[in-house]
This record gives sequence, C-alpha cells and structure tokens, in this order.
Amino acid sequence: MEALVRSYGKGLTAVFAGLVALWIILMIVVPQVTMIDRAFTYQDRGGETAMLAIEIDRAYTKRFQLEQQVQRAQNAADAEPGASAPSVSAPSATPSIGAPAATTPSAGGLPQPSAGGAANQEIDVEALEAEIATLTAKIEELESQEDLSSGEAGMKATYSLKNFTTMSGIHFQIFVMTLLYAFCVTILSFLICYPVAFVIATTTNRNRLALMMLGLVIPYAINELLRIFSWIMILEKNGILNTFLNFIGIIDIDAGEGIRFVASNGAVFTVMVYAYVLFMVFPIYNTIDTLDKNQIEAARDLGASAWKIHTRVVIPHAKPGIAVGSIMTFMLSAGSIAVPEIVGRGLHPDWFSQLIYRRFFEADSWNQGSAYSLALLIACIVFIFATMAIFKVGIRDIAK
Amino acid sequence: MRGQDVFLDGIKMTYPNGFTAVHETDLTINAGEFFSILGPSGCGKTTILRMISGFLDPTAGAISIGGVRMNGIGPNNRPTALIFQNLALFPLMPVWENVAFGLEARGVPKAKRRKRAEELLELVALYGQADKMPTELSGGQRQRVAVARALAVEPAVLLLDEPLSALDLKLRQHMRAELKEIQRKTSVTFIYITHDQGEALAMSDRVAVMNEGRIEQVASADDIYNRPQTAFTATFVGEQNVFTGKVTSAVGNEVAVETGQGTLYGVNRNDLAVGDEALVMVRPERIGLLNGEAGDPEKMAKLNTLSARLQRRDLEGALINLYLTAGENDIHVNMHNTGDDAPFSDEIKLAFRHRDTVIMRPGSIARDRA
Repeated sequence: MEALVRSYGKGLTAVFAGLVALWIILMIVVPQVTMIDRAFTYQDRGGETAMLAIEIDRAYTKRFQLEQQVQRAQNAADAEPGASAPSVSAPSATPSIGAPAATTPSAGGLPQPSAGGAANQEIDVEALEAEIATLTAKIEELESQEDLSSGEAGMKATYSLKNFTTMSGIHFQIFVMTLLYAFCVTILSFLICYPVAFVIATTTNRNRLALMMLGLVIPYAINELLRIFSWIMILEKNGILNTFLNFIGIIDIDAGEGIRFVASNGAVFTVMVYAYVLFMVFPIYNTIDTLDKNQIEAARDLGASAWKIHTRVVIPHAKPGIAVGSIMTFMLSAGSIAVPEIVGRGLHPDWFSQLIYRRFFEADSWNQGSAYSLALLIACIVFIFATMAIFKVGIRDIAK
Repeated sequence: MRGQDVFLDGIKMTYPNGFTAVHETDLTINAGEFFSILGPSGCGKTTILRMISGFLDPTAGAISIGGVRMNGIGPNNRPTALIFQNLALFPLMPVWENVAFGLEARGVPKAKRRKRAEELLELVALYGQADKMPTELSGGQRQRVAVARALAVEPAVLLLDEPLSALDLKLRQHMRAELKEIQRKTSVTFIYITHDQGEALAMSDRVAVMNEGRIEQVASADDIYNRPQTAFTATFVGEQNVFTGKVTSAVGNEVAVETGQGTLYGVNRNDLAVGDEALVMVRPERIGLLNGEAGDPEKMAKLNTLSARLQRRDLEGALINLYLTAGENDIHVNMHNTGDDAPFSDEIKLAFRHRDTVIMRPGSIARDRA
C-alpha cells in the first residue's frame, strides 16, 4: 500500500483502492452472500399461497403472450392497408399457435390463412383484447386473495438446511457422478498434457517451439461453442469420423452401421479435454521450463530410465504446475454446461451444472438452485485444498 | 573402483548446422590418469566430453572405453559419470538420495543405498550431512556431493566439466587438492575439462591443449609450460612476450632471428630453417634486469639483451610487474619482490637466457585469455 502511494500518489491510490473494494463487494461479496442466503432459505411450495403464486405467475405469462399477439396483428395491419396482401396475416399469427396458450379462443379463431384479411384481423384483435381484460381482472382478484392469505398461512421463508437435505437421490447421484467425471477429465487432461508440455519445454529449436505454441493457442482464438460444434461435426452419426470409418471399410453407413459417438461419456470427455487442454498445458509447461535441463541429463548419465527421470526429477519439480493445471481443469469441467448440453444431448447422463440451470430457470426454484450451486462450489473448494495437500504445495507455490 | 583407458580414434563432430566443433582427433587417455583438456571457450573441449559421456554421437570415428567400442551406447549404459559445470544436483532430494540416485536407478534396495551413500559422503569429507538438502550446503560442499554422486555408480571414467568455475578462488584452490586426492584414492580415470590453466597444470598427470576443434599438444604439465610445441600452446598457457622476425641462422638446436629488437637467439622448437618467418617468445618471469653480467663476455654470450622504456610498475605482493615498451613491442616483466623498493630508471636494460627463449613457426596466438 505504501509503495502504491509512493509511486501513484494519494489520489490515484484512493481510486485504485475504491475500485478494488467496489469490485470485491459487487462481484464477490454481494452475489455470494445472496446465494448463500437463498440456499439456506426454505420456501414451502406445497401450500395454498404457493399455488396461488404459481397461478398468478401463469396468468401474467399468458397475458404477456396475448399482448404480444395483439401487437403483432396491429403491426401487420399497419404494414399493409386494405386487403391487398392477405397472405401476410398468416405468418404473423402462426407463432401464437406454437405457444403454450393454445387453448385460448384466439388460437382457435386464427388458423384461417388468406381468408379474411384485415377485417378478420380486427375481430381477432378485439377478441384478444377482451381476453386480456378478463385476465387482468383475474390477476387482480388472485393478488388480493394472496394478500389476504399471506397474513397467516403465507409462504413462510425460513432458514433451514432443507434445500440440501431434500435433494433427491437421483440429483445426489448426478452430483457425485459429475465430480467423478470432472476428476476423470482432469486425469485424462494430465495424461495428455504432461508429455506435450514436456516436449515443448525441452525443445531447443526456437522455430519448432514457436510453431508448437501457435498450434496450441490458435484453437483458443475460436469461440468455445464453435469448437464444441466442430467436435459434433466429427462425432455425429454422419460425421467425419464415421465417414472415414466407412471409407476404410470398417462400417457401412448406408446399412445404418454408423456408430453413435455423441451422447456418450467418451464424447463428453474428449470434447472437454480438448476444451480445457490449454489450462493444463501451460502451468505444467511453465514449471518444466524452469527445470535445469542438466538435471535430466545428470539423471540419464547416472543410469536412470525415462520413467525414473520423470517420476523422480521432472514431476517433483513440476508439481506446482500440475496442481494448478488440475485445479483449473477440474473446476472448469465440473462447472461446464455447454459441453454436456451440446455433446450430451440429454442422452448422456446429466452434469450437475445442467441440473442447477434447470432448478433456476425451469423448476423456478432459485433457493434450491442456490443450494445446488453452493454444494458444487464447496466440492470444488474441497478439491482445491485436497490437491494442494496431496501435492504438498502452498498458495505461494501456486502463485508462482 | 578401477579406472579404464579411453581411446578416441579419429573422432569428428559436425553439428547439423554445418559447424565442425571437433576436427578429426586421436587421443589416448590411460587408465587411472588425471587427464585435463585445456582450451578457450568454444574450442570443442565440451563437445569431446559429451561424446565420451554419450550425450553426443561423433559424426565420424570411434570411441572405446576399456577396449569396448562405445558408439551408439547411451549415456546411461556407459561406464562413465559426468559432473556438470553447474553440478545439476537434484534440489528436491536430500543429499544422500542425490548421492544414491545412480544406485536407485539400478534398483539397489534402500538400506543398501543409504549405507553406500554414507560411505561415499565420508570419502568426500561430508559425513553427517546426509539428510540435509543441497540448498543448505555451501558451494564447496555441493561440489563434493556432486563428486560423491558421480562416484556412486562406480564409473571407470569420471568426466568433469569445469566443475570448479563457480567457486571463489580460495575454495577453488582447496578443491583442486581434494579432487586430486579423491582421484588418487579411487584410481578412477579423471577427464577434466577447463579453461583455467592453473587448474589443469596443478592437478593433471597430462594435459591436452585444444584450439578451434584441434588438439594442439598433449604432454605433462611441465612440458606444456616449459616446452610448448605450438604458438598457441605457448601463448595460451602462461604469458609470453612475442617478437616477430626472420631466421638468419640455424645451428643445431639454436637459431638466430632478426627482429625489430636486434638479433635474438633461442631454442628451435619447430625445425625452422634459414629464411623462415618466426616468432620469438619469452615468458615475463624469465626476463631480468641486466646488471652484473654486463662485463662478463662468457655470460653475455648466452644472453639476449634489449633496452626498453618503463611505462608502469605494479606491485602485486610477492611479485612486481613491469610494463615496458621497446620500439613497437610491449614487454611485460615479472620479478620477485626482493624488498629493494628503489625506483627503477626510465631506460632499462633487459636480459634473458637463450635457453629460455623459444623460437616458433607463426601460428594462432591466444589473445583473450580467461
């Protein structure tokens, strides 16, 4: 701090400190505290009030959809005055058919393409507006009911561990399996990345080193989703890999012998290892790079086999790098959502991150979602400390 | 432990980039010998060492150790052990594991390894330091750990790549004696690479002087210093005052050379004939001030004399260095400090014996000595 004041002056230092404090509070403390608070807040969703709340939510959603339909119909009417282009009214109405509100009268009245034109639309709009009015009235009624009941039997938000303890058996199994899978990905990444890092770190040819570095970094200039989709291209049933197998005569795609690579553990692991390879390679490369290469030669000169050289000389030296790489890969893969979602396609067993997503946005249970996130966070922190203990590295080694 | 001889038969090393580090070289190193290869940096001495240890394969020629051809055999399967310039101790292992690493690689059980490590640590005077980490030791102690580690695999040939260069002068001198003593006790063949002539001369049974990928001379330390065969050896080992000229007469072993400082007589090292270009060399400590002999014609007949102008006088404790000029020649004279600190006159008559003067064919001269 004193050094900062000396080099930047009091004003600028105050700005730095303020920004850092703001960042810590806004980006770390507040979200975490909110999440923890939610995780330990239990809302009884079975009671009467909860049912009411859900009904109100649904009414709001429906009204919103109707309002959009009205707007769209009006826009279409404004766009072409008169009955000159009747066909346009059909596409403008079609989205509403696919919507969940299919039972509303408006949906029944609409599917008559190219028939009525503007006149027809006007009737529709009137019908929709009437519908909206009834919904608005219903919402008001429901809300007044909710206000009444919340007095005594309302949604009791109490602090408890129930969000954790009510985790179903299947969810818990997914939780455990996700950690196990992430561990597998970490081990796989290490097995692949260690030799790569060693070769790069011991290359003396500068051109070759630059090429290898480029080869590693360039894929990371491409968006992660694109990288995942390119794997889909390879692994898909009619993808590159099956085509190749077909070409060399191992399988016959036309006869339906294409192998289903996607939606399997193997595929998810492969894509994930590829996605996070760099986070394992670079920490290991950095540590091996600092190893005095004479030590490798000395070990060889003393008669050590390649295995002995690596287990006794190189790996002990690279331990901090391996620890950092493992922690990063584990955290990233345990929290990964795009890879299991896109490659897994729902056929591969879920990852916990998908479950958390669905708790939040599909089951609409933010409290349980927070509890699940917190569980994953704690598991990851435990993994970090376990790794540091196993590798006997401290925070300071990692910071290097 | 027993040393073995090393025989290099026409070995040559050309790197992929076309640079020839070692030209065709024959060399025989006897079993149990302390052999040094002395040369300036970049002369190819380390390349020779790496070829003997097996880290490099010669582009031509054969290497045999103890009569067994070594070409194509990796460093882990040769009866050699290398001590690196920076020692390359394993910093994450305690001292005894460092020493016993070679045994560990050979699958020796732990108790036996520990015992052997302690014996070796005793040999290098490090008893009781077995459980320390290498970083806890002093420079000289680390040096000895490296020696013990290399000796643990019972090599027939121990290769040392300037291992003392990182130590300070006092320690270096002390370690010279210790290395020599360890070599005597174990009778392992030591091949010692250095650019420090003091180390090479003090420790070695024989010295090879190398320059630009070629061995200039192989001889005992005394011969190297007193009877150099090439201009490079003469100037690289020790210091020389050099005059150039033409041979005017050659009678037996003695030649006369006409130089800018008059005719100088000296020993004919390279069979020069009348009319040949020649270098006349004399070491600073062999030049004296001409005083009493001046009147004695018999003595004067065996002396070269010249007069020079004193530029600087440096006192160096036991020695006094005089820097003089005679015509276009710089002359360095090195005298004992006799306690007579009377000032020198500006014009000084110098004299040196014919037998201390070396006449040689012109060749490459070591200029930037370490």
